[in-house]
Amino acid sequence: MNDLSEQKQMGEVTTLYHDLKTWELNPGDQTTHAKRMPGFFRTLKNYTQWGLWLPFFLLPYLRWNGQQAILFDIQNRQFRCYNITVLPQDIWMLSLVLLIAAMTLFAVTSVASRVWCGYFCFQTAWTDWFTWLEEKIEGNPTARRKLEQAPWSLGKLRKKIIKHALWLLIALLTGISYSIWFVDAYDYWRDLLHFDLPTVGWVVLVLFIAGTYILAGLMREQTCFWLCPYARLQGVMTDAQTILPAYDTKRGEPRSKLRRNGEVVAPQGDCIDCFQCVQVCPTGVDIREGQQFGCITCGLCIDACDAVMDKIDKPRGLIRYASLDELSGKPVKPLYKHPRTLVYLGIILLAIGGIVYGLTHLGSMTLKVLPERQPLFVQMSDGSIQNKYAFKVLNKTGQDLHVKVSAESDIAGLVLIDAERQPLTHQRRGTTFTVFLKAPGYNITQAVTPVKFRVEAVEDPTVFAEYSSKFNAPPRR
Amino acid sequence: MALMITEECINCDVCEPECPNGALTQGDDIYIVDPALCTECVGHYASPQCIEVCPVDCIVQDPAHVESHDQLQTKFESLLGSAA
Repeated sequence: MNDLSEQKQMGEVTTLYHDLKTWELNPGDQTTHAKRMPGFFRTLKNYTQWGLWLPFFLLPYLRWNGQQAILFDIQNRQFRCYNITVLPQDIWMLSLVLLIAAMTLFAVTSVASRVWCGYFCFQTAWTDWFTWLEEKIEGNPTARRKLEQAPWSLGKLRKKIIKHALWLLIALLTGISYSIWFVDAYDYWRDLLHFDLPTVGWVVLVLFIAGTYILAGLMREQTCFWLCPYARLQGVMTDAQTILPAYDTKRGEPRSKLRRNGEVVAPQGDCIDCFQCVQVCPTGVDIREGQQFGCITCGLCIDACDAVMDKIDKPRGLIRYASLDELSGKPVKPLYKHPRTLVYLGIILLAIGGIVYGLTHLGSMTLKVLPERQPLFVQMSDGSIQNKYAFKVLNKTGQDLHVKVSAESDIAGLVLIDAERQPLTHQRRGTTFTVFLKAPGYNITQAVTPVKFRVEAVEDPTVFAEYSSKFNAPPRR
Repeated sequence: MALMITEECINCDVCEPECPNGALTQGDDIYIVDPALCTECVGHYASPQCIEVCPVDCIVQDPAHVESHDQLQTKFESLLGSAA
């Protein structure tokens, strides 16, 4: 790509960036070596990434009442978060959680573009970590490019081995840390160190090691370009009101190199074409070409440009977070005039309301009663009518409970057969049993009479559940 | 005259690959020119390449290393000789 024999002209792109002129984007045939520069957004990104790493790696070790505080316990089919245990029957709340996640992504993206990609995405954070290590081992981007082209030597081999070994170590830790969100952390470590994980445990671990190593170490920004659907989706969630890192074309163009001796030949913009914005870009795009799908809106180009502007005594903000409206000189509308964002926020609030309702009304027991349909009723030899019901009791508490069944209805003389029987319900499981109701025929005035069932734990009367059903009888004339 | 880089340097790295003599390296704060290697591109190009590409025009002639064109030509030839 670097054709050195080509005649260069003043102000033309230099050989170092020759490829950038021909490729809008690196399609993967070369490694993007981004320069690291300090600045506001670099610091911000460090904070958000630590905010991702710390909980991810450490939260599973947190204990609560002798158990793992947060555990997606797949084996026992429950999700535990401190005192709350969510059973599969309450999984409808998960759909609300997913709805909130999606709508938050939509809302944030409509306000400030791909905040997720730039600051919070696992891919971004892990790639940043991996390239940070790479810089520590192989040096700055220039040194890294040189090392890449250098023939194999012992020194090069040593650096490469250390780098890849450390990457694999991070990948291993990532795989372990992911797994212990789903099985008890200490049990997992014990099994792992005894090489005694179940097959599915090994498969997950190996997949995560391979995934982390390949995605963050080898593919990096290519993952965002060609693999990630969110990267592409979020691009269409922005509009003219969305703020995103943008190059102020009016101020910057025509770009040309700074000449200090005062020989200004042509009108000159503030952009001195120093390529710092491109050099620091983790995905290797040129923000001056405008917003593009390769841009993860991490703001690192803003840091780079601001540093250069400081150095050449020009005001900061040649590249800054700005909306298309602002850049094209239109009035900037306030946030409350951004209907899309408001709709997203409304949906988020509804979903949060649903989850709050769900969590506060989890209850400790649920009851479902299914009346027998074939036959609807049985006429006994003494003239009474009998109905059969299938009870499904879900005991959400952490202990096995015996339940007392009772029924309430307008029918006089309605009796529960075997009323003294107290079926056992197992903890955090559904239990099914059969219940019979009988009433004298002459007391029944209608074909269908409402009846209300109640189950109540013998051990703890505050644990109960009720269900309205029907008592069926032959049609009356 | 060898060249020198003033503190206006923004560390943009563009000059380094341009130098035919490998005289440019990244210093602690800014890039630096090795006066023993810089021939101001005499022998390679008509004008100093680093000056041409520098976006902030921060490369000037070094008053501490004043050399004539002929001296630079000799330096170029001796560098060629030592490289060969």
